[in-house]
Amino acid sequence: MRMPSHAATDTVQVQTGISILNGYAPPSGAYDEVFDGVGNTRQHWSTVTDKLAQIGADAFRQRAAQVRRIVQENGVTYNAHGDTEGSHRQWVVDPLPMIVSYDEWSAIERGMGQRVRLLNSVLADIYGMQKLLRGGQLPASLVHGNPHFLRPCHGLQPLGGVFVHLYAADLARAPDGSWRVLSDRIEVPSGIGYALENRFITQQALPDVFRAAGPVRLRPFFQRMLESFETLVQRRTEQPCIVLLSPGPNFESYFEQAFFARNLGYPLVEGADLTTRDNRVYLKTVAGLKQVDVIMRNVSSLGCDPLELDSTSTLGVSGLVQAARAGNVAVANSLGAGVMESPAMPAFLGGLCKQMLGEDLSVPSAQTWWCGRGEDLDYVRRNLSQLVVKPVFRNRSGEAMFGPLLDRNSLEQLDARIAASPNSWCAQEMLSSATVPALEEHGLAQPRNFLMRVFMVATKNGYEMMPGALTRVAPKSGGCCSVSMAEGGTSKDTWMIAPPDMPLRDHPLPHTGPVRIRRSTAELTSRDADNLFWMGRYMERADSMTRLLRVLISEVQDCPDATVPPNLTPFLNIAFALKPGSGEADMMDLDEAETKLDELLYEPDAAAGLVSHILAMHGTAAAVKERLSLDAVGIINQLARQITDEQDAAQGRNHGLRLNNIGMLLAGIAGTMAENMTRAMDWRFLDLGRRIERAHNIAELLLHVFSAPAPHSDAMLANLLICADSRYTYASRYLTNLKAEAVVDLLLTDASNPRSIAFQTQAIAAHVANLPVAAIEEPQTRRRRLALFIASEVDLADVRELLTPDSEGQVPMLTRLMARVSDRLLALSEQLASHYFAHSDNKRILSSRSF
Amino acid sequence: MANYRVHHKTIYDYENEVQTSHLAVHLEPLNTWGQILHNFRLDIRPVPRDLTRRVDYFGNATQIFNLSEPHRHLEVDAQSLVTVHPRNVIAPQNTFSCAQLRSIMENVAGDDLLQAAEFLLPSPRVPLLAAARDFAAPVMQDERPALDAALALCAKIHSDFKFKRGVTDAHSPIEHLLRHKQGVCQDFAHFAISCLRCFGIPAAYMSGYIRTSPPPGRPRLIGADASHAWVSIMIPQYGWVEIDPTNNCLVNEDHIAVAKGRDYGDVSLIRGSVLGGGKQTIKVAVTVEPMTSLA
Repeated sequence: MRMPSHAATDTVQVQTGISILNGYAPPSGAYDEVFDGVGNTRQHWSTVTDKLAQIGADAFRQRAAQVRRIVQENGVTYNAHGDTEGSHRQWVVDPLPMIVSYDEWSAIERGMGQRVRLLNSVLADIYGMQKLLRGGQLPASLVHGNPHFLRPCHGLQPLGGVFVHLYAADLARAPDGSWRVLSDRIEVPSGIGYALENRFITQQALPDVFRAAGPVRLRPFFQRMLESFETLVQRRTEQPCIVLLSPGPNFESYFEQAFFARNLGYPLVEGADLTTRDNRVYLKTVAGLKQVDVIMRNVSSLGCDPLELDSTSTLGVSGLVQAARAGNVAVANSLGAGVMESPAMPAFLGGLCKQMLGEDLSVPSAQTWWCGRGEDLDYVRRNLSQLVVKPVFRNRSGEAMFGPLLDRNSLEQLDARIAASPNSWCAQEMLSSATVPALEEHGLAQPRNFLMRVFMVATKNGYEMMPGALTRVAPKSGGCCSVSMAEGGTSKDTWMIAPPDMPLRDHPLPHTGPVRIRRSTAELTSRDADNLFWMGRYMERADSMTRLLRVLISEVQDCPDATVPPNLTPFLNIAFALKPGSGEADMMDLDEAETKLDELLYEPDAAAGLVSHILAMHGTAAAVKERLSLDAVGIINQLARQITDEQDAAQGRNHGLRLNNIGMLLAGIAGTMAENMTRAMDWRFLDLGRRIERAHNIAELLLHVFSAPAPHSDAMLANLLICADSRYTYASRYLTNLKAEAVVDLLLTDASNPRSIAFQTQAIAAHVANLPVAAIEEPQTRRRRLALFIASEVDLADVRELLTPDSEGQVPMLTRLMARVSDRLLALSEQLASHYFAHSDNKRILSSRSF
Repeated sequence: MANYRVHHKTIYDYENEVQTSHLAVHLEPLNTWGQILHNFRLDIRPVPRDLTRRVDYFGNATQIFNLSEPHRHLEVDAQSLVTVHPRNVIAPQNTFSCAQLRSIMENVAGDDLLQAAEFLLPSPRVPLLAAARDFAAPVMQDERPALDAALALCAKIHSDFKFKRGVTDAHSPIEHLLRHKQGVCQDFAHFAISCLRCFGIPAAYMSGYIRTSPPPGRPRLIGADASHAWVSIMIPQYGWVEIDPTNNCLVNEDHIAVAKGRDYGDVSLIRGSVLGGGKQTIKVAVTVEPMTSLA
């Protein structure tokens, strides 16, 4: 049991059998989610609080520790804003859920539905007649001065007037128990993937609580999203192409995009994977160009089209706006919808709602003042120290400023900035928001402020809200100000609990007709094929390096002499990337060799070292995450973490343990993939990479061993068999009788040995024969002929003939063949790359100028 | 009344093959009050498969096209036949004062002025610089008639800055002009716009041409062998009035307008994104030929 380490700060003594909620005391005057004003448990929480009492605080904290492990293994990360250098933060999940009653949830859903309908109407006006601007209901400068108002998209009215396909809002609860909208997420509403991940994790950690409380499932919401995107397809086609446009792995929320791709079954693409011609958008796949019908974008509107929008963006696709105008592609959310995200907009939404929908906002916004209005300006300047002040256009002069946190000097400076340019500033009331119990690392649950992000999707029958949410909890108590994952807060699963007698909304299954049987899922993009191929190559490279180092390190450690024994030379030559037959390694003393081997095993900077191979594999895997099984991703993450963690611990290094461990994890990855991936195109590219690399490595082994000046000793042959992972196969056939022709047969020509070159080259030829051929190509392509040629040459090899010694006792026929096979494999790899992976991305902007 | 034949040819040569390129051009002269476009012809080599003409947010014609076959050479050849009418004579002294104009714009109502109000806001290439405000303050007095003040601003820009190529480039921010005191028409226009907007006068960026050969006895205008840029301001009594800070004059029959926007970014003559190609060289030739008749 873990005891509180700081008795002074953690005064709560933890005892077994006590609920994690024991002694939980929300601040007086605030609204608390669990307990009402007189300390009674709210009704929709009672099942959960009872369960928590049964479980006890200690057991609960153990489960929380489990959650941290699960999150780590699933690789849930969050890349904080602007942090493109890849420092992905770990997502932090508090297994104590947030709970919302059905009645309350329904009221919020109505309110949010009304709000999105309003947003759509306002957007239709902004990108159309602009009557609201002419009439003064919406200040023109909030639109015309907004960098997210995209003039090239003016006149682009989406189907059915739906600009906002997916919508998210951050809600806070005021002290009187009513909800307020703090901000609208319209441009790229993120968080759904995290909400689902939180659900999976919480359900795993608290299966008993989950069963007892029975929150409404989230899955059907995904089905809604799928249907929703399908309604956007305009083309009459059997197989519409819907893609997720992502800014790439270095950006915020990539985890979520990969998660979407996996769960919705849409290809995850980057701008460079798309191209436009004839006012249509196409996806570059290994089978050629495929027309795209719908783009679900995770790239900000401005970045989507360098031709007509931000010309410096490399994330989009040139010509997208024109294709959208021509009606050949639908983009969700609509390009330019982000204009409504200005934090000043809520100051006008109430009035607009009355005018346009004839209703009051049923869930109001937090009170907002736009300093461009005289009376608002006065109010804001008088009350600066009690308000949250924000620039009206998000990405201009930074983030929100919290009045209470500013000293006198900063307040005066802020006041001067507002006075100088009132139109650029707005302010929001500071809510003392409600509290929810949050788990602390030590001790019992504490009251913390939170925000709840809810999600809506447009369906044929109007907007539907996800029956759950993403709740984010402030890091410190009294942290009234900011709740942001980037600042170290935690997140919670959010349960909507319906009373048993309440009929849930009828969700008929969409496809009631017979299902069309499909054998392949998402299209394989050229970039994904490239990454899979290289992932296969790096996996195999790491694997063969592991075995090589295992042999070398144990031999060097056991060696009685001070110099390198000759039977190790060929293996050292491979490890140190020296020429076959080179005598350089012989000149080394043993210490030097050992240091160099150490580097290969531990140093991430050693170019051909084991760590760099594994990290390269990890990198390529991360880029195709959504195509791999969760188990495979889990093991890959674990491996990458372990090899870098151990890096620092220079003391107590145990080479053998490290290598065994790496070897086992690599085998685990290969096994999981072999068992889980369907034998579709993605598998072919992965396996091709692996087979080409393995054939190449064995050819190199044979080349080096049989180029050695010394006669190949038994020890050398034994090590060769270990490096090629065929020692036991050999022993089962020949016992300990080591003969060169038997070894070469097993490693080169025996197609039944999955470690032989023949096995690889036959598999390669079969894969290549099954890869798509472009319409303009001859069916028997160069790459097919080359693969067949390599396979036949290996197949036809006569081992005894190859081992015929020349006058100097060398076996030139074998070494020449191995050198040839090795070169041809690399040539094949290059041909595959130039045909299937070409996606050059050196985009440049043309410009002309006036004088 | 003046008739012109305008020929504007741009040639791009690339070191390597370009895989695909997407272009959007603003080369078709405006057909508007005071200027009649009789004929416009756009030839592109290689010939694009798709070419779309549309009218953009500001009312300019723009052509968008895509070249998806590999190419090393690209020609964009625009020819137009235009008649420019003399502008109404406006006495600069008879316009609203700067202060009056500002107060009218602060309480805009009605379609035209709402559109004009867009040209008061800072735009991507024209921030409202304190330095611009300071520069213009001596000539933009509140009580001074707005057009008189704007022309005085043109004169001040003309005398304080030197026209020189190669100091700034197409993407230079206007601070460069201030630092080096040298630049070209694009820089002068952007800077004048920043000054005018700082004082509440709606100002637009005009892109176009001026006549190449001067009428007998008059000096050759600056920028005649290339495309040109100037400024249009809104004087509510009269509408948009064009002024040219580079040549320090009111625009009359010598300017042929192609497009109007908030700044150069809205009306780039040729804008494109190119995949591949390596190094490129650009050749531009502009001739503006006055014609006695339109035959």
